Amino acid sequence: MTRYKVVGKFKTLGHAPGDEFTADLDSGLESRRIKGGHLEIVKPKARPKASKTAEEGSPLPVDETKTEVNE
Amino acid sequence: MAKLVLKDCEITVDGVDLSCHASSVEINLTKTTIDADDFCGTNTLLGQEDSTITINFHQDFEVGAVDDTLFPLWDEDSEFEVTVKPTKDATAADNPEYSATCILPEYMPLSGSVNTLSETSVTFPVQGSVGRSVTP
Repeated sequence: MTRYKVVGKFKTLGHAPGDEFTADLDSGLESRRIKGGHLEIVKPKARPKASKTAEEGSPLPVDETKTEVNE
Repeated sequence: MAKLVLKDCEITVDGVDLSCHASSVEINLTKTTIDADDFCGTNTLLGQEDSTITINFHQDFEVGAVDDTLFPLWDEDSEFEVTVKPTKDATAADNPEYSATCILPEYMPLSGSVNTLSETSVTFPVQGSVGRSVTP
C-alpha cells in the first residue's frame, strides 16, 4: 500500500484536491496519474530517534533482590 | 428521481473527475446484429456488445487537467475505466453509475478556429461490456 496526495485540481480516485489517501494502485494507473500531475507519492516521515536501550549501552538494571553482604 | 435535466453529471476518466470540463455525454449501448434470414422469414440475432461512451470536453492544457489526463491514455495504449452518473449524488437506484473499461484510439487535442472555445470530443470504445451499478 502506498500513500498518495491529490495534487491536481480535479478529484482523483474519489479524493478531493489536497487529500491524502492510501491505496494499492496498479503501476500503469499510478504512473499515468503521477505523470499527469494528479497525484504524488507521500514519502513516510523519518521516525524520531529512539532513546537508547539497555542493549545500546545504558547501565544494566540493578537487581534489587540481591543484597550485598559485607563480611 | 423524476424527469431529469442534466446539470451535474459525474464523469470520471481513469479515476480523474472531469465533470467540470465536460459539456455533453453519450453512453451508446450497442450489440452487433447478425442476419440469420432463412426461407421462413427474416431473423436478426444479437452478437457481442460493441458500446461506446462519447464525451465532449472543454480542453484544458493546465498541469493535471484534461489533456494531461487523456494524452497518456492514447499514448500508452492503456485500458482504463470511465464512469458516468446522471448526478453527483451517491450511486443509487435513481442515480445509477455506468462504468466500463475503455481504450482511446483517437484523440484530437486541438481543434477549433479563432474566437471559439477549445473543445475536444472523445469517443471511448468499451472493452467488454458496460456495467450498471445502483449501490454505492
